[in-house]
Amino acid sequence: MNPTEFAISTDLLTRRFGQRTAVNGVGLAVPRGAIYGFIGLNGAGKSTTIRMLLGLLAPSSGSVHLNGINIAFEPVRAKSRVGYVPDRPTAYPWMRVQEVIQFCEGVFPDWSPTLASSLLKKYRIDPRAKVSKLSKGTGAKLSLLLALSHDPQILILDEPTDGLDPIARDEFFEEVLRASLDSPRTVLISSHSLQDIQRATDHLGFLHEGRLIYQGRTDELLGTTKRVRLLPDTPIEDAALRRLSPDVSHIAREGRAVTVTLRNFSPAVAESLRTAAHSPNLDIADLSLDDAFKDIVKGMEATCS
Amino acid sequence: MTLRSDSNLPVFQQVADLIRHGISSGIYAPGDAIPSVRAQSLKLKVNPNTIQRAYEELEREGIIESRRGVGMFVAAAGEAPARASATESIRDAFEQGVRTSIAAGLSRAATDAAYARAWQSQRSGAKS
Repeated sequence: MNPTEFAISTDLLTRRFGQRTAVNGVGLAVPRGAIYGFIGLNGAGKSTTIRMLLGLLAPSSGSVHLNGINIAFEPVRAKSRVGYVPDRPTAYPWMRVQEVIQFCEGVFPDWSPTLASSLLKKYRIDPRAKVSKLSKGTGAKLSLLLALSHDPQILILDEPTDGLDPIARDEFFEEVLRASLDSPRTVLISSHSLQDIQRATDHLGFLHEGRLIYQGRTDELLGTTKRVRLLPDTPIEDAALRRLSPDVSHIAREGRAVTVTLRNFSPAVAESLRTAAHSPNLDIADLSLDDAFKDIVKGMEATCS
Repeated sequence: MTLRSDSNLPVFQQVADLIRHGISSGIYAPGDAIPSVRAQSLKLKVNPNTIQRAYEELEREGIIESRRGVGMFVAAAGEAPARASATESIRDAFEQGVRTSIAAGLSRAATDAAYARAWQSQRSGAKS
């Protein structure tokens, strides 16, 4: 993999904490200009990975390239055009919005006061408000403003909508899309609101227990993951279904019906399941990202146990 | 118009259906401008590439047309194909209903009656 083709790329990125491997051989490849959803359960290693992307945590092994620059060799240059929105606002609660902005202006060499004040107006944030008095939604927008005001080429957001109400979440995703539409920028966002991720992203990385179990286009994952519902004439065991294809993920049973979630869907595999189950009918259904995510995770747990 | 939160269809299909249904129900008339990729992306919170894909499909179906440098418009003859593909997209939902009916062992007459009741309740719901 040529790291200069990607805004963010990692090679065998690994981080151990004592005996525990939190991030295990991860090879992210985030194309330039992508809106990349970084998804996984709590504890899957998303935040640890993000902290390594930002140079806040050293990898145990492996490497990180931002815009083709190895962050271990040229940290300042690699990180200069990166904006970061943490999961919790880091702005000092006792400061006023205007003071936080002035403070950041002194810290970031590429800070644009014009950009900051235009975002302040666009997000309708009162510059005189105390940070501690902002609503969660406005606090998240302030974090976004702070991340965007040095016009970063790469924007990294770690669960920025955690704890926001549906309207604030909608508004936040709109601003993330605007940030992507307004300039040739790459966005990596981790979130548990998978309906928002399904709509807003074009690429996905799916982390499970420290490993990247899927990476590719969002529509491709959903186009190739299907639920196949069978009504077997004779009972068929999970193990027998799994033997038919390694792409059998989650298996759900209700009454006589068996619903098999298939990765890398092909009509031939679906037909082989139908034949094995002696099922007269075969219903094939699309899944939302939310359901696909849950089925794939449960499928991994079933096959590993 | 917003996307439904309970749909399992691919997002580009949902966006295309939104425009098709918008045309067949008269929200957009032939010759009307439809929102740009950018505006639609921000409105629906949907990736611009996904909106683009939906618009390309609608253009292929002759429902919308792009005028260079101006934007996307409902095609002069766009209504008929919009209505036809809107019909196509509801056929799936009906087939699902009919399958449920057959699986539950209902007769054709009982299925027709259930359909008539559903139509009645939705029409009166829409008016009130």
